[in-house]
Amino acid sequence: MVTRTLEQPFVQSTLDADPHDVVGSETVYLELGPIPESAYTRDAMVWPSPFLLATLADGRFRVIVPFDVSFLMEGDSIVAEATEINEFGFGPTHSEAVRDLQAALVELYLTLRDDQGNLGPDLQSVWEALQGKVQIQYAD
Amino acid sequence: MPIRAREFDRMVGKFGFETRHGRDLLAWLTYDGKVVVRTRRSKSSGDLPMEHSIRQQMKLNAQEFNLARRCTMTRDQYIEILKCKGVIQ
Repeated sequence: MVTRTLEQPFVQSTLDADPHDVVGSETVYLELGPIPESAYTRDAMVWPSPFLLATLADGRFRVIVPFDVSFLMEGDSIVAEATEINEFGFGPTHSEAVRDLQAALVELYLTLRDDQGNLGPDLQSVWEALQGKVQIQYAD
Repeated sequence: MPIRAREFDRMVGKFGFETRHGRDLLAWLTYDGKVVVRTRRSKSSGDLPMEHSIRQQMKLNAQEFNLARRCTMTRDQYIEILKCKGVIQ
């Protein structure tokens, strides 16, 4: 939900982004709390599990419903798993695991799009779930 | 116990997955003209930190996955498991 105040500058939140929030010349302000000190310290301290991933960091895609992401430790690596989609990314840090997951989701979207109409029931449901969460904005 | 890249390659090869090198090694199983299972591994050659996730994508429980990685499961047995779980209709 977008809260309108005059105290804070506008920040385009990827979670709440809705182009219809900006109407005419009206400026939309988001109410932001203080940034916790932990945000500047160790990577592990700023990643709750599960958390909501609301961008694929790829300009071709817009996330319209965030992905639920959980973290697992496997050995020295961190695995970020989008449980509803059954896709994962991994890396030595939470950030890198999330970046790997974002790239994996993009690759998954493009692969399933190419194979649509040719998918088994399980992958068909993954494709439908992906379409409910992601809009493609630009063709390749 | 993490799965090794070589184990992964042997397992998907035995089950008849097709593979493609992209950012990672992508592997998918086609049955009756339909893509029914899809998984991937990183391109690193050592231990893969994704055993749990790969197992889930391959629709196997822990016991079945251990058989698969040791190559004591045949493709027909794997297909039968997928049919039992409704992944193949």
